[in-house]
Amino acid sequence: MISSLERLDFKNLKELFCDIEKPGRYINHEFGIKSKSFEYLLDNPSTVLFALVFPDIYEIGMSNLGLQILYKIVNDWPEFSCERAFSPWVDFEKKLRSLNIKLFSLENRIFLDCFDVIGFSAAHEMLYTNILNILNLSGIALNFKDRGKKNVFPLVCAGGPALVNPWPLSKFMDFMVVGEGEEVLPQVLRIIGDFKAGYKKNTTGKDYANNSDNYAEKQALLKKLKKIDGVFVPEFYKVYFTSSEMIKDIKPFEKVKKATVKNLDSFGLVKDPVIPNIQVIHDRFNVEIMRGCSRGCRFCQAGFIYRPVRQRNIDMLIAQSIEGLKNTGYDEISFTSLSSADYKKINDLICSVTGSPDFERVSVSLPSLRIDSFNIKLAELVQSGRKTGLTFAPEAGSQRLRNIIKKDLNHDDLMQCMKTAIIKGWDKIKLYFMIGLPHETDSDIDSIIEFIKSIISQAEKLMSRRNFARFQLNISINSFIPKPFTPFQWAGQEKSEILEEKLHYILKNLPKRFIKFNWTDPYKSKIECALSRGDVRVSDVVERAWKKGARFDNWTDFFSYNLWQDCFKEAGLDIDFYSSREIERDEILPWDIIDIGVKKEFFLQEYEASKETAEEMKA
Amino acid sequence: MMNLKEKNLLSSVQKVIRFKFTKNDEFKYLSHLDIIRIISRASARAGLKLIYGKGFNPKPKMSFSNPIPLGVESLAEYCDMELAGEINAGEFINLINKALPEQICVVDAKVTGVNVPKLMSEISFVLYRFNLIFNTLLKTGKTKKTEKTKKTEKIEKTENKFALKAGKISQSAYAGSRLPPDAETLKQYFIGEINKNPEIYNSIYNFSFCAEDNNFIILEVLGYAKNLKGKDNLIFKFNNFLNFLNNFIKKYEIKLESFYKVEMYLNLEDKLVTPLDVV
Repeated sequence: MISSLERLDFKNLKELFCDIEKPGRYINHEFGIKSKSFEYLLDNPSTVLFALVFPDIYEIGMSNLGLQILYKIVNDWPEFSCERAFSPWVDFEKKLRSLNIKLFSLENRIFLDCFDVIGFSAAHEMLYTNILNILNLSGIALNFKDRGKKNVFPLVCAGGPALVNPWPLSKFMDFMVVGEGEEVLPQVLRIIGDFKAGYKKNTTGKDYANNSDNYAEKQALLKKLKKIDGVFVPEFYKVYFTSSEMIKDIKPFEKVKKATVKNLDSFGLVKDPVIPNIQVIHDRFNVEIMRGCSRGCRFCQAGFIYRPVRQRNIDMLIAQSIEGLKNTGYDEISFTSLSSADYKKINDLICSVTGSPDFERVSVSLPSLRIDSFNIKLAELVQSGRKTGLTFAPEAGSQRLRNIIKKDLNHDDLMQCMKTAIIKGWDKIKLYFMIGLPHETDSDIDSIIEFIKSIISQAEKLMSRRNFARFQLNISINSFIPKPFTPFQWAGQEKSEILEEKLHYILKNLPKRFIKFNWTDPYKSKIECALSRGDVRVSDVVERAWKKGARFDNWTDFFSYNLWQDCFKEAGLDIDFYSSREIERDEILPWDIIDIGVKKEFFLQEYEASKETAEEMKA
Repeated sequence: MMNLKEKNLLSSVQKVIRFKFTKNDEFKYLSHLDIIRIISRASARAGLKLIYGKGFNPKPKMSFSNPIPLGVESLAEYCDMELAGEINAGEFINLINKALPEQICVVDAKVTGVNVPKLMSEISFVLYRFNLIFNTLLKTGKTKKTEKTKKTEKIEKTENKFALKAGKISQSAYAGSRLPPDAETLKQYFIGEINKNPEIYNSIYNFSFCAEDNNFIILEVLGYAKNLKGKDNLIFKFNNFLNFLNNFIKKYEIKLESFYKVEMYLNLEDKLVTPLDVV
């Protein structure tokens, strides 16, 4: 170990946890911990220490299946050890700063700056400021250029779906991983482990302050890492801009190929996940049954970046699900994927797992149901345990607009499905809609209102008066965000003022009874859009925002549009350039440097097709 | 429909198991609800067949002793758990401990009938231990690991509350000399202080000071866990007492090294018995 392993003593917790909301977020000893013991690490200093950091609170991070997968994969190797850390909540951040204590990992309370590698999981763009905050709380320089002078370690990296466009974090990361981490991460850690062994020998007994050799050594290491599929090293690229702020060139124009796991079954389910001590958002046994989605909805980034579709083998799923339920003691199992009802043998899977007398009380949840593949049989299967709510995403109110965004389901199917759900006794249904979709007109907004009203009148017809009194529709309305690697990636986002008007209009025209309405702030969606389509210059904005105090930008209470607006301005950038501007077809896109597996021509073709559909519908 | 024979059979395989468990180390920062969730999930992992209540969202039938304040470790938390099927206490302890993190450890258990007194309502007293150490020792770097599991002599119920309720002891004798008092003197001061503080006084049933060699003092406090019939007692509020104690020892170059809950007692025919004694 280059820097000796330092950790926070148990005795310090008393002072640290005084007046802190839910200290259980920051303690260790959950059931299912897999990292090596502190004693082992001291005895085996060559172990590569990896901090897996989810830059949101514990309750959200521990609901993330990806975190559990990577945690297990890394810890399965005797030569690596992975510990977790999460964003401290604002009260705890304040406490850490006031007591001058650096952020530490959960398992052994090792200070993050003592790790060899710190890896952030960026589930979405609004976590970027939290990432910087965690680096700062750990006493680590934000910019990669400022690190590595004294010591190559810790290396800072990031991965996750938001990073299909890695540029907004490019100023801070030594490297990033685009795509799926299962195979890449151990390869990366192996190379770092080899390097570490040699590095230690080279520098033993020397004073490495401002050692210029460190820089060269780090470069050599990053060059090796770069050869792995999915690894993007920002330092090795230079971006040139035209006088009109567009990208002129990225040099060298060497594409980074997204990492993809060919055979999902070669990685078993995490049958022994870490079981949180405190209540988390999704406190259940999560089973990924399939990766990727065959639908190709034109607005949906996940539908493209997780391609190809890979289904897990049903026999393995059944056996491992049963084992997992026994190992964990959970009473809820969730069969997750982008569209779980599209799994070929979904009914067999549910029957086989819940049919066992051991799991009488186990309830099943399918987080993303497709309306067209929802059927009575499935409804009955899902309701056999505790009845949780049903969630559907019609996305648009009118058939016309659904055709344009390629959400292929028709009105009759939709209504039939709602009827089925109501008849089967669901009195809580959640519906997702988007506003500001390309080619949207006022009548499309009216269609959303009409659709919701017609569901209520169906419910009134089909339900007993007593049940109808309990009926509840949760309506969730999000603003459309044109995201990289979708056919709509060139589209301009609708102005936030107009989106706000549309929201108010819907709210005003919906009956108050039976409906619970929630929406995202269009201004927040605008920043999310600018961050997701941002280029290398936007990482400067992220740093400014963090300096001004931005954290937890996904939380309405903390998000400040004015703050972000100022930061864009100070960086000499225009938010609209990244959000509401319609991007030219022949422009070099920041994310052109990434090979996601779907050709740009295909996206363009789909974008044109959506326009044609709009024209046809007009005629 | 079940016939009577079947019903009898069913009730005969239905067991209530009363067990005592610890809440140690970092787990003192978990809430009562967290502990309930952890134990019910561990029971499922252990393959124990819990009995569930009725209703829309049935919960396993478990009842716990009163919540302990956040930040306090405990050697004695109790739970009654209803189980289906035959199981003996030894088997139970073995199975559930394998499924629990070591911070929660089931140390004792007994199979009981369904008609034992409910935990929450019957527990009358709670015993806390406070390990006090002299500051002069802290400076020399000498530390002491107090054995948590060490059995203490049971506090005998005294006829006259606080037999040592000697008159008010003047503190002036002590003032000026910053020497730490011995256990006996400290006890006199303590009595003087609680006499001045009716809220604390009325929430304590008994206490003891015990010197562990000349450097460490163990204070044990037996507080009321509920309002007892015919007594004008108050319920022992841990955090109030902790504040009181911290203020008290501040004057004497003494530091509170650690504290934890040691045991809980029921009042059975004027005798203190543990929840497992009554089974």
